[in-house]
Amino acid sequence: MEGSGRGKKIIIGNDLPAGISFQQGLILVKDGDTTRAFEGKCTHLGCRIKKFEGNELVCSCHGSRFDISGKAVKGPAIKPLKELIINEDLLSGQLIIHRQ
Amino acid sequence: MTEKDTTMIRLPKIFLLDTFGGIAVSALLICIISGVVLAVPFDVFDPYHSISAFILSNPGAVIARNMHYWSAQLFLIFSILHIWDHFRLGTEKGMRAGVWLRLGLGILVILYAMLSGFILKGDVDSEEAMRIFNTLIGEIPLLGEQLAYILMGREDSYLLLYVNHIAIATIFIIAILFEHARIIWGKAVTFIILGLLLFILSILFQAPLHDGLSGIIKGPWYFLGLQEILHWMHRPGWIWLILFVVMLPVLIMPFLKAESARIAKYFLLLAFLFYAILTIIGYFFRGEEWKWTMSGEGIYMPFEPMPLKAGTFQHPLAMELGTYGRAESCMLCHQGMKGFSSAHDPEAIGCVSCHLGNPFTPDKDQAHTGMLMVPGNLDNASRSCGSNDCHQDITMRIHTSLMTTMSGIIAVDRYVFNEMDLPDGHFNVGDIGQSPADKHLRNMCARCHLGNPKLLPGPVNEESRGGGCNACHLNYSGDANEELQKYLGKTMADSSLWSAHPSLDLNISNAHCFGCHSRSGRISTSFEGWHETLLGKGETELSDTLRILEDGRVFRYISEDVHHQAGMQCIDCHDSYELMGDGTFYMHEEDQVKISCEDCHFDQQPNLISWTAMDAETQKILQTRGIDWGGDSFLPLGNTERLIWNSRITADGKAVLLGKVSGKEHPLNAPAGICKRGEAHDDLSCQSCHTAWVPQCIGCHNEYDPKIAGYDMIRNKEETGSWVEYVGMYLADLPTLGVIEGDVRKVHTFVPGMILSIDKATYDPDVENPLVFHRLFAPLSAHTNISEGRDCRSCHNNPLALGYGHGKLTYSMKDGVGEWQFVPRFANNPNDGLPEDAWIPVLQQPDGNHATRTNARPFSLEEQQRILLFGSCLECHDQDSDLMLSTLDDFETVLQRRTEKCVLPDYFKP
Repeated sequence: MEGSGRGKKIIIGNDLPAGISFQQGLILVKDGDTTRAFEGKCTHLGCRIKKFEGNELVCSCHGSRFDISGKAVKGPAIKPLKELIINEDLLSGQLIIHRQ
Repeated sequence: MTEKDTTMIRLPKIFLLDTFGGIAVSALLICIISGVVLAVPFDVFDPYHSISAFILSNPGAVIARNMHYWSAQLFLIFSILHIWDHFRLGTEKGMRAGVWLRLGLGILVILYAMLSGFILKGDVDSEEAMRIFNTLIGEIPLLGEQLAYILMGREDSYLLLYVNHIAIATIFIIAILFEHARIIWGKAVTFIILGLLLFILSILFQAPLHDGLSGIIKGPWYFLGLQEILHWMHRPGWIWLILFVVMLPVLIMPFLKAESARIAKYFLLLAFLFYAILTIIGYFFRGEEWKWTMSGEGIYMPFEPMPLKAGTFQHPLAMELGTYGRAESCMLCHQGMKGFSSAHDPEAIGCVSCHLGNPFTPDKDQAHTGMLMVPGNLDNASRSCGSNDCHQDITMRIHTSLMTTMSGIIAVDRYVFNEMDLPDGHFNVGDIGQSPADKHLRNMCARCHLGNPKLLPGPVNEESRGGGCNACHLNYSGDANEELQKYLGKTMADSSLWSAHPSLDLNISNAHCFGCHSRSGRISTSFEGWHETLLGKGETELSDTLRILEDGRVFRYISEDVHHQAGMQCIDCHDSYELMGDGTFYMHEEDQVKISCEDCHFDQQPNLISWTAMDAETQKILQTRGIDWGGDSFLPLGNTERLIWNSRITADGKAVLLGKVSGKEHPLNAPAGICKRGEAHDDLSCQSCHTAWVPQCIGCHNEYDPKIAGYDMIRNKEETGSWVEYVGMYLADLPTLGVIEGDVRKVHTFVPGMILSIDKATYDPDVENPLVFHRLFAPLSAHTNISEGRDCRSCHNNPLALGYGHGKLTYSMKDGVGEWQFVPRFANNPNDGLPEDAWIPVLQQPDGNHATRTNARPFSLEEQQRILLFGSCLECHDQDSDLMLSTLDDFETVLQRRTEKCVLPDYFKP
């Protein structure tokens, strides 16, 4: 990761596995050639999300659940997970994720 | 309001020696002094580790931390009581407005100081509390983000919070206190007595520290009511309005008229009681993910005695091993333990990650409290193997695996006992009851599931059943086993001398599967070439062709599977998702198993898959095994999106399969030309031709004996009375063929799985229709494959293959008309008049249910006729002749070319 904290770029290696990964406070969803990145914080109170159960992302603080598109499917959270912009480095295959 | 006027409840004074306010002042002073002492060993840049380290090595620091914690709690409690005293006595009226307002705001500062102290311990509770309050404060309009930064600091640093805690909040509280009471020091006697009480409290009861393993995340006890309220709020920012509504009456209390003040105090009392109830709910009845829990499991109990013991503390370097940024006490005694796989080395994951217990005490008994001698059983897997950053996803989905649920076995058993109309449905072995079928499962079957706990340490052997993760991943070295025997034989002086630990790894051998899979379909024994006999343990002696299993059953050698011959293990074909579930509940084994022969034995290379499509679990398996193949050359796994990670196409275009344990590369041979010639056998599974033999069991009778010694495999307890299975005969012979309907009709191998009778009245005299008879065949991939396929006659002229059973099938030709005749080997069963081992009557349309699957059936009359039509040709023509081989391309044309010498069966209509 270049720098730390907010407003930084996060580099993800080109070996990202298919499915759900939790890395550097992010939730990465790789489906085929498509990868999406979400801020790994629950939109209810900001607790870290790092559990994937029954095809849903689960917040351990109050049990909010999100589907893999980031949509809140069970409360108390009602807002979708914050999706982050991803750029792919064509040479290295690495993903550059922009965290605000 | 005077004391006389008030009708409110009077709170008793706990101590006669001082007021609540006086006690609060003394508690604050002790809190400050202990905080100064605590600041010495505390490392704000690595708080969790520094606390866990001094807990084990520095009794002075432990007492300082405990006193700091308990004095802070008392300060909060007595401050609230003191405020209540003011309300009760109406003394707030006499205060200056500014002083009262600052005192009111002081409540918030006290809570902030308490909260910041809670966060500064740096465990997972603290981390989440920091995030929650960052978010909540950030929700305050206009100033939120700036205020959050000022109060909480950066999310990745405790520094600013620490400064606020030790300096700013403390100074603010002291200033308010001085302005209010004009004192800094309280009564000396209060200070001394409270100090002594807190010292004793600190010796007996430890301040909390999350072990990083439990999934229960909670804030400090005084904020659990808030956490409960927030749990109900979709927009938590509104909590500030609630806080304002509660604080407003407090702040304006001195300015209210008597009646308004009385109402306001009632309101505050009710709010307090309501919050207290929410706090109790949050503390005792909320578990992981804030779900309701009544068990109390994993909930921190503050008054659970854990007295400090002199002489147990050791130098910090002795226990620096650990994980999650903490030190663990286990290594104080268990240093030098060897035998771990690299992934489970204590240097990487500590001991508590698997064995639980308390890592934050140097005392043996306290450290072993709640410890798991055998971790990895499914009832504890979520707290051991599946805790937080380990194998959480697997321990969640393993509950969907058929090896856990036994759903198919339960469905078929209930169906056979006539307790269900169809052998389908989703069931779990943990839910079975006491019906005749369920009792039969409890007595005969219900040990072979992953949820069956492994209760004692020891290697996996032929009699092992279940054990959760241990079932497949536990391996004992010679040293580990030797030490275990010493321990069990009580010849080891002290368990701390134990130095050889069993390994939890990916070396999953056939022996791991053997215990369960040597029964029922018996694929483990069949794979190795062994067939069960009715011989007793004492009726034979060991020889090259006989094998006595550890459970006493005697097996005879027939022939091993070609894959076993090549040195392959079960897991070389079956991947982690087939074995540990893929998150989908399946009804039957063939639904869960995705691999098929054609995945590896193909004549046209399928579209290969890139390693980038690999999921995290598979990637980790490759890394753990030290395999770095990369590339785009993996074979796909059946119709799934998965790949066969141990397969690949080499640079020179050869398909190979890597033995996962052996490391040996196996060439993946294409099917023989005969397999793919024409379309005649397109609907045959590979096993239909390549299965050398299948285990067959006939003449089975079941009844319940209420007097014999039995065993309930669910309760794991011996009992009186058990279902008993009486076996007629075991046979090893070619499989019967039948049809599995689905998207594609497939001819597959079947065995006489359930030709049996059951007397249910022996278990329940009142049951209706107690006598049950079934003639059900089960589809089975017997795992006895051979390279050579069976010949034409072994199917087309074989009564066993057609489902008629053993016997002599002959074709007689008379007056230009052919007729098939069958003489069975076994007598007819009186229940249905068919030979004991038959599936269907000869050349008749089968009716009713005949299989243990709803999508499986024997050959229809038309199919039998067609098979035997070809069989009639084989009566005269050599099966290897060009003529007969040409029928594979076009049987109809060959039939049209028949001569007058050809005598076809009587049913044939050209």
